[in-house]
Amino acid sequence: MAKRSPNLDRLYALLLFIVLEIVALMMISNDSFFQQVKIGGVYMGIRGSFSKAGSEMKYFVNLKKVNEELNLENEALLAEIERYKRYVEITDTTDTTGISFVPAAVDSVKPQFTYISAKIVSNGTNKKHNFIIIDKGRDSGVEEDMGVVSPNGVVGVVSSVSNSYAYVISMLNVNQSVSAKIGKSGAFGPLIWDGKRADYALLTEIPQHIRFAVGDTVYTSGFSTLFPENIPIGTIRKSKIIKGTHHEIKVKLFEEFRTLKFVRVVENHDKNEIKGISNPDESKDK
Amino acid sequence: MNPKINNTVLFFSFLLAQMLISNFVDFGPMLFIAIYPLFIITLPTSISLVSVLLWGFAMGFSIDILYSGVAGMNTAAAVMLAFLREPVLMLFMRKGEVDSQIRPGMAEMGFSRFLVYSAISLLIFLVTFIFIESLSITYFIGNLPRLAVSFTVNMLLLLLLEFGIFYKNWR
Repeated sequence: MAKRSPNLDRLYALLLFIVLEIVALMMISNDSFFQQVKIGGVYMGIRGSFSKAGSEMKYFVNLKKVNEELNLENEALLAEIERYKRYVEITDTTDTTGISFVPAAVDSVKPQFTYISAKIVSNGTNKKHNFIIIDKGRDSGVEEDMGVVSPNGVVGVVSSVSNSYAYVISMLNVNQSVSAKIGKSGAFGPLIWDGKRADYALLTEIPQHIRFAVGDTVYTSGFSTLFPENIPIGTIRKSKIIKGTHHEIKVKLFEEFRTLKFVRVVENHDKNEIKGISNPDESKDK
Repeated sequence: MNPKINNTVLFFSFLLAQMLISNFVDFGPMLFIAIYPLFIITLPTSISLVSVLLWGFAMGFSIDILYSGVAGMNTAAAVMLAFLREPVLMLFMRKGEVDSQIRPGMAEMGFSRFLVYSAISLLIFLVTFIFIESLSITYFIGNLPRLAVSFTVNMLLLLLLEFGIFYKNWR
């Protein structure tokens, strides 16, 4: 049999190369589909054997720290409750305006935000695009585009959900941005990650006239429907002026993503209402 | 050993090793550790370009699916490396060697030739990966330190692996 021309072989290879590269690029652009695959049942089974032992070990080693963090958070919450109790008492007894203030029964008040606590199954801090998989999914009420926080700050945003897992775009992802503000002045801008170090992020688009000092705390702005207002994120370190118009501020994050184990998914009950106001056409369609 | 079985065993070993490294080694986002390019660049010269492409695709795809990153980035870089492997290899092969169907490793090519061959291949892989990761030139220039760090570490790892596991004559 005559040998096939080597040029023909090369042509086949070139065609195959182009097809495979296009497949790869399509995979990148359809990443949400693969996120669904990754938190599906089969995948979690395979991946469990790789990551479970490691994450359990990390968790065990950090138990002491987790306990301390929980203690501190409990203290802070108790203090806050006491403050509110006090506030209610004061407003009750010194009512001189004539408008009677009747605090509603605590049970009847519907909070804007509720939290679903979850455990991290898989986490990474060694890439430009880091993702976190948590062990709560649609069955527990987690939905796409919900914020994820921890006692130390913002963790990320839910990207896709399966029945029992959720795929979270970590704050440590160059595509992610969170609306944040500087504590004192209230100037706000997007907080992004530059992909260089796991404990620093950049607060950008702060107007040049805004004054701040190194060590000021940066909070969530509450302008997005994802996160409640005033969650501390980090403290201001270096800053520089970009293009002569705005500050770019380096923020040292409170969050330690490497040792993170427990997170809370933020459920915003007013989300649809807010979306309906800001985008009336879209809500009509639904 | 039958080369097909050999390649399959190597494929899964590299896949497993890469998964373990990706999941347990964390030196921060500046360092991207990849050892599987060694699998692609040392595939035997006897197998056709089409099979090299398919092996590369399979490797990249498996890593993308099993690992929590943006799916497709490893695939794109691995396929690019597999496609450009032959032209690069041709630069370093002597006339008789192309037909003798060897595995282009350190023992067969000699240290210096293998060093340059693997360095060029690894550079192709890393440049593609980082370019696709940022999908723009401006980010790419900002990524040069990352490229330099990753290249140095990966090159050392690659040489160590090749010397430690596949270099048969050192005893």
